[in-house]
Formats: sequence, C-alpha cells, structure tokens
Amino acid sequence: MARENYKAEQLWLNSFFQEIKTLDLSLEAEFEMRRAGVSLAELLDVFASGEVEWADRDYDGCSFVISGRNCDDEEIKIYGGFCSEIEMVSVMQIERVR
Amino acid sequence: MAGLDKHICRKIHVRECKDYDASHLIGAPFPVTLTGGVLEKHCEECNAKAGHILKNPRQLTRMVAVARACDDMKLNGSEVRFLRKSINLKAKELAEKLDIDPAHLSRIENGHLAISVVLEKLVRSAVCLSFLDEARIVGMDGSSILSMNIPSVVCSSRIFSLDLRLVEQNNVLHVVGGERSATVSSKSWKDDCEPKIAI
Repeated sequence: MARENYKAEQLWLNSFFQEIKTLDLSLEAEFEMRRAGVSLAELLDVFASGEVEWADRDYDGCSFVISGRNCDDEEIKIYGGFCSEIEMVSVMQIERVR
Repeated sequence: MAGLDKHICRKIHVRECKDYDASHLIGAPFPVTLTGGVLEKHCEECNAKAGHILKNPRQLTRMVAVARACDDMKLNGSEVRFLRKSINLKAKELAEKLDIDPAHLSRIENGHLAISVVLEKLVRSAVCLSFLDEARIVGMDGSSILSMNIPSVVCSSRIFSLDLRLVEQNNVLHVVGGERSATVSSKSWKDDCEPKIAI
C-alpha cells in the first residue's frame, strides 16, 4: 500500500531513467554488482521498468529505492538518488533479492 | 582512543579515469577496457577511491554488445548469454525467436553444447537489429552478419577483448577509436571508426 504514495515519483523516475545521461556508482555498488553478477544493462532495465518502493524528494531531486526484475525474472533492488539539475543518477547500493 | 577515529571521506573529487576495466560492470565475459568516458571519484585527503561516474551508460552497454556481435570470432556459451541479456530477452523468448527448445539454449549458454553457425548468426542479427545506431558505427548490417565467415568451433587459444576510446561531446559519447583483439590475431578499428563515429 505504501507504493500508492509514490505515483508521481514512479512516473517521473521511469521516464527520466529511460535515458540516463550520467551514472554515478559508489564503490560499494560496483563491488556488489561484481559479487552478485548484476550487469549495467540489467541495472538500467530495472531503472526504466522497476517500481519505486520508497522515495524522498528534496529541492534538486530525490532519494529512492527501486525494485524490479531482470530478463531472467530475478529481483534487483537499487538504493540511490538523482539530481535533476545535472541529470545524474547515483547508485549507492544494489541488492539481488534471492 | 584517538587512534580509533575513522577517516570519513568528505572531499570527494573526480578525475579522468584512464584504462578502466569495465568488463565486470558491463557483465561481459571478455575483457573490456575503456579510455575516456569514465571519471574516477576519489577522496582528496586520503586519496581513496570512492567510485566511478559513467557517461551515457546505455550507449556504452549497447556498444559493447554490438562490438562482440560484429566480431567474427565464434561465440561461447557465456557470450551468448551476455548478448541475450543485453537485448533484455528471457531465455524462453530468445529460444522462441531462434525456433529451438529452451533446454537447447540452456545447454548452449552453459557451455554443454556449441552453438551452430546458423543460430549464432541469428543471435548476432538480433543484437544488431536491436541497436541499429551502434551497428552502423561498426559498419555492420543484417547482410554483413549473414555473410560473416564464422568458424564452426570455439578456438580456446583465442580470447576476444575490446578496447574502446571514448570522448563526450554535448552529453553524447563518441567513439574515437577502438580495438578488438585476440591472443592470436587482432583486428584494428582505428581506420574504420574515426571518420564515421556518431552514437
């Protein structure tokens, strides 16, 4: 039910994430991608089609948790934020949900 | 207890990252080295790495998939899986497109069975048709792939690797050079790519 609260963020984020211009990856996210075998293409597909589980808007963007499925139907969760002014998406951590 | 104080990186700066190994990030089962197009974040105080910034990541992943699809070195199972994932198809969906049993595709992807030349050309064509702009960059189209001379067996002494040199102009990545190489033979893109790149 909590996801009902994020309809606006959902619409905005999914359209914004169709074409990400700059992607900022933390070292932790890179490490987890390598460990869990999550590729950049999978990450971008989750961004474009995933559901916003939580979001918190601030003056120049928002922080979010997005979850979605890759082409093999495995759930991936992304924790991050984005800045609309410079069109940059930051990925703080990712998680492959088993 | 002062010795136990943990340094917290606050002054994060970015610098150009030269020769970034992107294979793990892209999920490619072959080495991918990027020059340009990637910035490295680091702490100005302790010089520790804090991560990387990628320009146009979507273009980048497409470019790598197309580069592999357009190289005539035989695909192994992991590479078939990589190409399938790059076009965001489930194994079942690709098997349907190839008109084969999903179990057959699974055996190919797991390396229990070599992919036939005909199926391989269909997989490569699917990638190039999905990413037409990137395919044009390497001068490939459907007919070039169908007429490609692919060996019927995987040569274990040859390893595909990709070296891309990228520059960013107006938020668009341009490939200013690149090299596909193998341990036995190599093929340079330098002459091909420089004049006509425009992703």
